[in-house]
Amino acid sequence: MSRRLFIAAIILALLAPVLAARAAAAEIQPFGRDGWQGLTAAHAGRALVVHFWSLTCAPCIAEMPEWAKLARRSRSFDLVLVATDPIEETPRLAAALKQWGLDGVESWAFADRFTEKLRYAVDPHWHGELPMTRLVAADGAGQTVIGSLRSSGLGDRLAGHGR
Amino acid sequence: MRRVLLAALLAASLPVTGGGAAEEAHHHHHGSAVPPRPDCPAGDTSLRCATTATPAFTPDGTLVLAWTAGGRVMVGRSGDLGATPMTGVAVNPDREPIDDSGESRAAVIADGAGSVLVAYSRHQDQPYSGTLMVAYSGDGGRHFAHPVLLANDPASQRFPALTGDGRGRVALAWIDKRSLAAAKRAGRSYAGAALAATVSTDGGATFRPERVISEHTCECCRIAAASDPAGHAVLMWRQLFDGARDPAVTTLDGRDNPHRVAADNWRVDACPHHGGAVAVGPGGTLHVAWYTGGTARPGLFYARSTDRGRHFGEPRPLGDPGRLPSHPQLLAAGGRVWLAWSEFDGETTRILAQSSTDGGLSWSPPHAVAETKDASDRPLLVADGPHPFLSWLTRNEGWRLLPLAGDQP
Repeated sequence: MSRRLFIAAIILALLAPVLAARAAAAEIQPFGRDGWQGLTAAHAGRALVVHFWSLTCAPCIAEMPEWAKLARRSRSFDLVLVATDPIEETPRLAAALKQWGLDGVESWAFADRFTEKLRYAVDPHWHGELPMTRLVAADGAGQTVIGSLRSSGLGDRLAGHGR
Repeated sequence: MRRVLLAALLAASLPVTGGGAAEEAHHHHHGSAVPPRPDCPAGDTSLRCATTATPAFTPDGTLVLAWTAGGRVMVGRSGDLGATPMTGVAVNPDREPIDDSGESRAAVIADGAGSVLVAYSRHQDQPYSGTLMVAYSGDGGRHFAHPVLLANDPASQRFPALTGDGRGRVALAWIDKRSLAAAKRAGRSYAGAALAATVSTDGGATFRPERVISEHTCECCRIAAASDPAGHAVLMWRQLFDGARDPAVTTLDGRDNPHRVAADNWRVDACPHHGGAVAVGPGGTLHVAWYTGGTARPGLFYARSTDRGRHFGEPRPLGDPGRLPSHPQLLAAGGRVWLAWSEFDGETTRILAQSSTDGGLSWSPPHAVAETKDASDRPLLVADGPHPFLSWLTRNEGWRLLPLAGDQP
């Protein structure tokens, strides 16, 4: 009995860092007025794909399983998700991401009511259409793609990237 | 099938309604045009806690303002353009999850016989779905009858738009999902939603059964509505033309068909959340304005038609393309046509306006009417007889009613 408990304790101790890492990855970070600057700085020098979505956007929801597939593959780029829903929606956002298997992907949610300003930092020509994906090359050059993976052709481009 | 399953899973994960606090908080946070202030307690219905505000004038110059706050649609009356604070009466007796995204907002209309009509949509449990509610007042908006269901189909009715001729003729239009729901039941696919409308000849006390005016419309853009000299409603919306989300108009005279305003060719599988504007000049000239991301002409545009929408002139770009020109508004008042829109430079949102004295052929230079440095509702234009005003709810300044400069003979 005590031996079993001992083994269980060992297994738990071994697993703890893994569980903690999973919890950390699932945490949704607040995307405030300096959110874009901070996000891109953290991935500087690497190709980056930042996907903006919302619980209120039907085309976004419909294609999240495809993003999950992309996230599972080996990739030549970093992938980040940003929900334009307010950060107060974290419980619902986290539940949805978990359902799609996207809870291990770096995630943010809008954390300032002045959403025009948040969008402007990402792309000064973005009117707020969703889904929207911002591609940032390793040298910092950016490109905006509006619409779903399939209709915009972005899915094929990213699939090519990942191999 | 996978999509359907996913949608079902997601719907299942949503909190179930019962008017609980969490439910209301959830919907209030969800893209409210102006999120409630932190110092506004839940359920506070005052104008300073409003998330949207929509104005109308009676012919005798009384301002009627409908605002959403604390789970209620409130209606206030003012004889001094809102200078004296309005307390307002609640249109809906119980708190509801009101659809107040800015694109979807309460609509209000008033006539000279004391009729005030309010239409709003409340969220259903399923995402992207709402139920249209209509409330009527026969005493100028002092008291309202209990809001009633109007649509003869339960699927979804959102983005209500109202227009009237001031003499009792009223039209109410909305984005309806009955065709989408029927297609789903039959196992067929259906692109977009539908435009539905109904008319009243007694100021909104009673309505005829609604009709679907157009199938395959954009599902997430508000409708614009105005009345022509004969009292018929003119509607403008975003239509799916073979997959392109381009602007369309029609006149509800029982004969007209939808007409495409411009072949912008905006083929996008996305939610633009960006409706257009329409006004009808004294001679029946149609004026329209809209935003597009189309390959033919991305940006904000104005166009006019002298044959009731069958043909439109060349679209004219509006605003500074480097400053996100957005959310157009049009108003015919005092023999002029007024255009307004918002621009954002990274720090400040400004409302710009210009007017035309020759039916939209030539326009005054745009001038800034108001600005703000925080969250804001859509700008709205409203006329008190011949006098045009900007109605704008902003986080920092609250609700304002501002005369448009140059409103002198």
